[in-house]
Amino acid sequence: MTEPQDSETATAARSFPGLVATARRVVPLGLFQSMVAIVLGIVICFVIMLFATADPLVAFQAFTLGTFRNAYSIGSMIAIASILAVTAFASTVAFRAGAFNIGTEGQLVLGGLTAAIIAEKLPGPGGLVQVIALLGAMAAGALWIAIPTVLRVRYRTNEILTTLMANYIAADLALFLVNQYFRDKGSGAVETPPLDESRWLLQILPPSAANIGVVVALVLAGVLWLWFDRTRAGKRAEVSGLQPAFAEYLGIHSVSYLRNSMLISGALAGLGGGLAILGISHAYIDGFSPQYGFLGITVALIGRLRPVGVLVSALLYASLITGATAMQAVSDVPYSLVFVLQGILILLITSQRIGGRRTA
Amino acid sequence: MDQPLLALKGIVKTFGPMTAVDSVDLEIRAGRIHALLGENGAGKSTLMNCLFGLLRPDSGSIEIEGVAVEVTSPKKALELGIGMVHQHFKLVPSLTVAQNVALGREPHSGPFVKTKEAEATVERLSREYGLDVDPRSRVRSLSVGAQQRVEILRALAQDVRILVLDEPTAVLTPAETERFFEVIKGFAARGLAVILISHHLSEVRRVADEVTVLRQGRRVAHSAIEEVTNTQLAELIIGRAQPIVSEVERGTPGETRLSIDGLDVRDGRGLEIVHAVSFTVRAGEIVGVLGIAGNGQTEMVEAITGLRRPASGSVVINGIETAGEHTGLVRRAGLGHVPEDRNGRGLAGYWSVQDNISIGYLDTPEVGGRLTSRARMGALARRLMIDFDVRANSPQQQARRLSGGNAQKMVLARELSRKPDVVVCAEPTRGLDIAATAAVRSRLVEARDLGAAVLLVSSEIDEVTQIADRVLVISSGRIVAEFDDHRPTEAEVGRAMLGGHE
Ligand SMILES: Nc1ncnc2c1ncn2[C@@H]1O[C@H](COP(=O)(O)OP(=O)(O)OP(=O)(O)O)[C@@H](O)[C@H]1O
Ligand SMILES: [Mg+2]
Repeated sequence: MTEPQDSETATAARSFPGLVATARRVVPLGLFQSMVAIVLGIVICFVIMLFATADPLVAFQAFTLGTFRNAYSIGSMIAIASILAVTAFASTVAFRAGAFNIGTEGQLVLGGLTAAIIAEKLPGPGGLVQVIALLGAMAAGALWIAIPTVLRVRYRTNEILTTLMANYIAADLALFLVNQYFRDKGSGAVETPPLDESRWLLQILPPSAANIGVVVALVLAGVLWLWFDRTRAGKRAEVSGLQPAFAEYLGIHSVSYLRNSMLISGALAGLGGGLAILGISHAYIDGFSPQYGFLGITVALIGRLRPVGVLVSALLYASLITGATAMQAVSDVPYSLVFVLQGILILLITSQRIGGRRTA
Repeated sequence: MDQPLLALKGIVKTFGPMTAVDSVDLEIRAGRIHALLGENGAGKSTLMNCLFGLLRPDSGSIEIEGVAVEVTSPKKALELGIGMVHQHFKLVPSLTVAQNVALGREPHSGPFVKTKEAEATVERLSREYGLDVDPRSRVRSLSVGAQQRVEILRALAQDVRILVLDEPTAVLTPAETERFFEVIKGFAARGLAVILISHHLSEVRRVADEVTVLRQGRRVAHSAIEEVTNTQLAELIIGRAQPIVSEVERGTPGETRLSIDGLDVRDGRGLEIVHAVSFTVRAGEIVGVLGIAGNGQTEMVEAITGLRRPASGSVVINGIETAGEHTGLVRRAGLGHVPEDRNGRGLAGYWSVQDNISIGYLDTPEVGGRLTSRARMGALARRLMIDFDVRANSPQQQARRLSGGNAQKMVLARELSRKPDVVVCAEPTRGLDIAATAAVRSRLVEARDLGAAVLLVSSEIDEVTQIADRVLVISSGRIVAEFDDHRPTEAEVGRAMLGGHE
């Protein structure tokens, strides 16, 4: 019964041509276009500052260079970058297979919660518990995308909608679970008890937050590079997303690639949540994610869905986020400029012709 | 002499290091049909895309009635009265036929589109021009032939003075082509100018008044059609004397490789479109299935190649029953398939030539092994590009940037070079120039001589009668005639194709 499913995938992919077309274009475009987008985005941010504050130069300097004023903030930048890279990889895996998982935020939140609970409750040596907690986070992320995956594969339900909705459910579910069962009774906030230091990921630049999560991100980049560029399965997954009718003709079981890519994507997003909890916040705190999942989508698109590109754009983006924190301290431009920038970048990246020559 | 309606002067268009169009001049007069000829990749589509505002020329100018104009976008082109039927269709798959035809110029009252009116217009045009389409069906569900008809209707629906037709008849039936040529002759008679790109010299001779020949981006000839013979034209196009086609010897068939028995196939709407088709193809034999497009060939091929589940019947490839099986199994059984829908099925436009070729070789040690090697993929691509004369700037060029004919050659290279036991090809020479067509036909004969069973499904009579060892004629989904003791003449098959309903 595989054959009709294949054509179903084909039809499903054709039913939202806009996004499919975007992903098709995103991969082949060069990094040059990304750079143009970033420069333009930063310029627009500067223009906004001109109106938002009396001293735009100070704000702008903090925004772009603020990260590099000391080792501590460079460390935070690295910590944030590794999580962004991991969530961006989650988006990359899905987008490249033609599945528009925009539910990474929800998968990340539940992954983070799972990691926090395992790390708190499970006795045993720190390293082992950390590994189990991270695996648990991945399982939670995969589980959270399982329903959209089944709906997409079996019933051709648009996964953009289902994964988006799942984000809201995840946020409320996490809130409910923490309040009801896991809340730190000694704290007034919605958070789990602080983790024992043995549960923390190894810090590489103490006292800053930078931790061995960065190694996870680097290893993942290597694995994904191998997978997409050097393995047969990677090529097949890619063509399944790029052009389902061609994949079907080639005898590729596109449905299984689609399904597996979605599950792996969810697992990676969950892993990002686990890394954020064990590496940075050291407890599940409501709002522990400054939208790592959503930002990861932008980072993936700027990195053109390529592992190395994603690493670079994660670093860049993280430095702007850290910079925005500094900016908030020295001027009256709020941190939310980051989200403005994100919106601008998504628009620029998904519109076809930035910096590129017009072609037929 | 009178002033030309349209003049292109010194148009140059380069893509990176390669010059696709090299200072070409072209003068088009009102009331005339001007044929633009040239081999695959000569720059015909590129030149026309410059005229239509899809590409900006690097230098040169465009004048309409002696006034220089800047064609910056297709919208501008339309305002200037230039319409175009594209070689690669530019339709929106999720919209209906009527919506596509009316796109950008929808009849409306206030903010509301008058759908009924748009549909009525399409119905009227389709009757008037003899191009049969249902205005309400979605383009996504149409066959390539029907998409071509929509593309033509869209250009005709516009009020244009200059009409560019880039291989408009490639997928039309002979009757439609005939009708279509009457229509464009009518246009010319009303004072419009028509530019026609085609690889069929006989077609060109029937309708064109003037010809221009491009070779490697340069204009190499321009004259009135009466002043050149077809042989001269062919020579100008390929740049040397045309090789004489010698009669192809008939093959010596061996064991049965492909056998089809009682195949019934339903189309997307559940209507039975192929009825009880049975035949076999043996090793070392080319079986041609000839029929006017739209008589069930497409669905039959899909059923044989695993792309469509047959309603009943059996398909045996190399002794393995494959009816209703996944395409993966069908291919492993030994199938090579040159699909009719080249751009949708046969290649990934956003992939490089190298990827498009090596994806067919993934399971071979040639590129495979535990990890694929880019170097070996590149070497494979380069070798096949030379073997099959695929002209691209490099193996890294995106497939969608290939000229139409070269894209087809790339698909052929991937499918035929693996030396599959059974080759199914649908319209393998569509869009190819004279030389490439001859090359592909001799490839198929070569494959046959090496022992492949070749099923050649085509709507071109001469293609089938030249190389097939046996000819089946299909009409309304049934095999209505079979010639197996001799190669039929064109007249014989022509009669069988038309008188299908005995
Ligand atoms: N956007 C592009 N980028 C790079 N090269 C291109 C692009 N478009 C066309 N080319 C190259 O320009 C050359 C001319 O292509 P064109 O499509 O004009 O040929 P053509 O005469 O229409 O051929 P055909 O008969 O096969 O359709 C080809 O070699 C093609 O590879
Ligand atoms: Mg062309």
